[in-house]
Amino acid sequence: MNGGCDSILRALADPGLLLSMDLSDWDLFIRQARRANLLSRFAVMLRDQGRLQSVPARVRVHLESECALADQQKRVVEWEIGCIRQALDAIDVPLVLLKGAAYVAAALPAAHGRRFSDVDILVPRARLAEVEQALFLHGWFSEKQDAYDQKYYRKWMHEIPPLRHNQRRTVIDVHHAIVPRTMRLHPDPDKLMTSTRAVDEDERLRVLSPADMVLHSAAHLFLDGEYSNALRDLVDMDQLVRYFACQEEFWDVLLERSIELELDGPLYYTIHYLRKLLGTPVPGQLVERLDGRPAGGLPRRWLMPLFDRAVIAHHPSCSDHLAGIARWMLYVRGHYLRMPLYLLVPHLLRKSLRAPSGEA
Amino acid sequence: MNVSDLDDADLARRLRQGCLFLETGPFISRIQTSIESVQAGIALLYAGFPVHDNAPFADFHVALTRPAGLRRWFRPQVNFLFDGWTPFKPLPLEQAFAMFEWGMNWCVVNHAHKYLVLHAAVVEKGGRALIMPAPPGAGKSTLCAALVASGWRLLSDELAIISPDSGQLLPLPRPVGLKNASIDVIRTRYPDIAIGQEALDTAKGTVAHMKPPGDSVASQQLMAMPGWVLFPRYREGSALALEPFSRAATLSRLVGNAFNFTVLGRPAFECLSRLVDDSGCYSLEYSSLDEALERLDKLEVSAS
Amino acid sequence: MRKTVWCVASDARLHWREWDGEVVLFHENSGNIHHLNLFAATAIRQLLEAPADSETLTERTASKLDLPVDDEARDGIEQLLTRLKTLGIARVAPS
Repeated sequence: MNGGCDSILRALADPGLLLSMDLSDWDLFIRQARRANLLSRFAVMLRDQGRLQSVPARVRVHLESECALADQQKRVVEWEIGCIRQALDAIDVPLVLLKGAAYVAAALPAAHGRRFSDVDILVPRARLAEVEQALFLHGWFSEKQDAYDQKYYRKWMHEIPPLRHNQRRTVIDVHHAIVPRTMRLHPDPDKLMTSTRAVDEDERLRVLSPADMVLHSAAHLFLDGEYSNALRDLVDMDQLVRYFACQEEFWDVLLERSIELELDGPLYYTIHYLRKLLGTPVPGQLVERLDGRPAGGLPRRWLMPLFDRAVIAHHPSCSDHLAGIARWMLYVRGHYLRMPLYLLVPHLLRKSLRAPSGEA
Repeated sequence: MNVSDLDDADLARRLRQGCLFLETGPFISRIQTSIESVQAGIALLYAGFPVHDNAPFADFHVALTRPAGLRRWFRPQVNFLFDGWTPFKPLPLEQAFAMFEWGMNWCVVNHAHKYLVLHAAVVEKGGRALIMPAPPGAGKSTLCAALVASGWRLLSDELAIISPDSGQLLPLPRPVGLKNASIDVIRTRYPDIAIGQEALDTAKGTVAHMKPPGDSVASQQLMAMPGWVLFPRYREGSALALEPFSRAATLSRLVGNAFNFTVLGRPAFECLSRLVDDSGCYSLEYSSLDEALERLDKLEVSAS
Repeated sequence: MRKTVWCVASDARLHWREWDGEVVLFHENSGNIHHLNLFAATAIRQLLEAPADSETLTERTASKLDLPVDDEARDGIEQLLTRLKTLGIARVAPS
């Protein structure tokens, strides 16, 4: 099934293999990795290892281009974090960075060459209005003017509509929880908030605890319904757990925390695919204990064939004839998980009646 | 082997099967299309460009296809695909070749951050490049076409590609885009130069492309040092005025015209500062193309 | 009340080019460039040398350029500081 994507997966496990590829191997590799949003990660990895010069010149041009984009990303995110900090300075609120921005701020290996478009932040729900007001004063506006979208976000989602800065054009997603309010599973945002860590001497700028960081990414990947960056997200989690595994009792904490936050389901699938696709070292005991947990929701043997097709690069060379329908079913599942059925059907109808997206 | 070495049937077959590997400047693009107007445009306007048999590596994999569905019959459209993905909304089928040109520019602008890329026309004489950044409507493409038709070498009518390491400009001498009135101006002045089919009612009005001179295409691997930065402006009835332009303002404008200044960051700033140091910086207001060409021919190489 | 003391942000990476009394400032952190006249450029350079309140900065800038310390100069500095704060180049100095 992922036959065509083998080179990405093998290169993730053993980057040295990239150096033995010929031009036609590179041709397909670059296209697949670009589609999976992983090309800049490979490019930065080769540069950090001082191996860019060993790559054929025609290929190197593309890798250097990706390195430039990755470096810019880091500068922009650091700058943006500083601007958000300034904007929120007066209201004295804890500001928790999520995902890509958190990896950059905490200087984690997962940040190296990671591409993302928005800065995600988590703030206490009780302070949401103040935060939005402070950001507004500093130039961030909501672009979704559509009343339906505004209502949909505010009533059902775990974030407010994206805010775009009127000069820099950068986007912040302000969350007050890590999964939608309507979700059948709802990890308590207060529990996440109390376990956050400061990234520097300013106690207000924070990131999630190691276990929560992994669980947030897992929840996002396996509950959301949007799988175009699935392989990239798995690679993030691979980097995170490899890095955190040296902390004592990381794995035990991870499992216990997943049960406490009702996220052991997503963790099960995460561990399954990390081991299967990326060869991530995971203690056998953790795998056994996760296996023994009840599946909740749909049986695992039903979901696996869908996930198999969703967590690989979404490039024609990696997909079989069932990939499209599998990804669509997961899209519907993602919505089903977050909305009661009487809301879901009108919502999907409304979306499908609107102009189609740019994707072919 | 060049495009002109392939007969029409062979070119059409390669394009249909998606195995036309076309070399333009530093890039090789693999092109797939069954649309006849695009095939004809490539045959006419890319005649002198090299093609490769089954190149193992292509920088860009592009295709132009007709979207399926009922529209195919009553309002035919065309899609530009970058490796199977559509970055733009479809356009009317009559605009297929124009869309191919815009798509090829998009590929460079979004994937060539090894270079600093500016929105500017570039021509060369005596080893020195004349760089003309200009907003749409300033008459940049008319002036560029006229300069090229009267002996300057074409580097590019849209994209100045600069190597931040050497400060040199890389040619990308693809067809020159002409808009509205300038199509007839060039056709009348230079009746021997081939111009492709006109596409009406595009976002930019009527658009047609001029075939780049054979010499410019043949020397597309030959880089040039910057010589002059010129901000041209066509104004009906104006007298010719070539004035020195403030270097600080020139740098500011060049940054504003760069597609990837913030991607490259400091190397881009250093590169453009050096370029401004090494170039004569001017503004040009003109109404007569003849006067403008005559004056620009006398430009001296000047360094600050 | 204490006067507000300003400084250039400690992490600001600034690069300058000057031609004929005009300056282009590149602020690497934000990726923006700013085309400055000699007055603004001199004021920022003075601020880089040492933090200052707006009155002191007006005096130092004016003396550097042989200009009178008048309301025009004061307004110029006030506006510049507000702008630099928005751009993230200048900050209120920690007391």
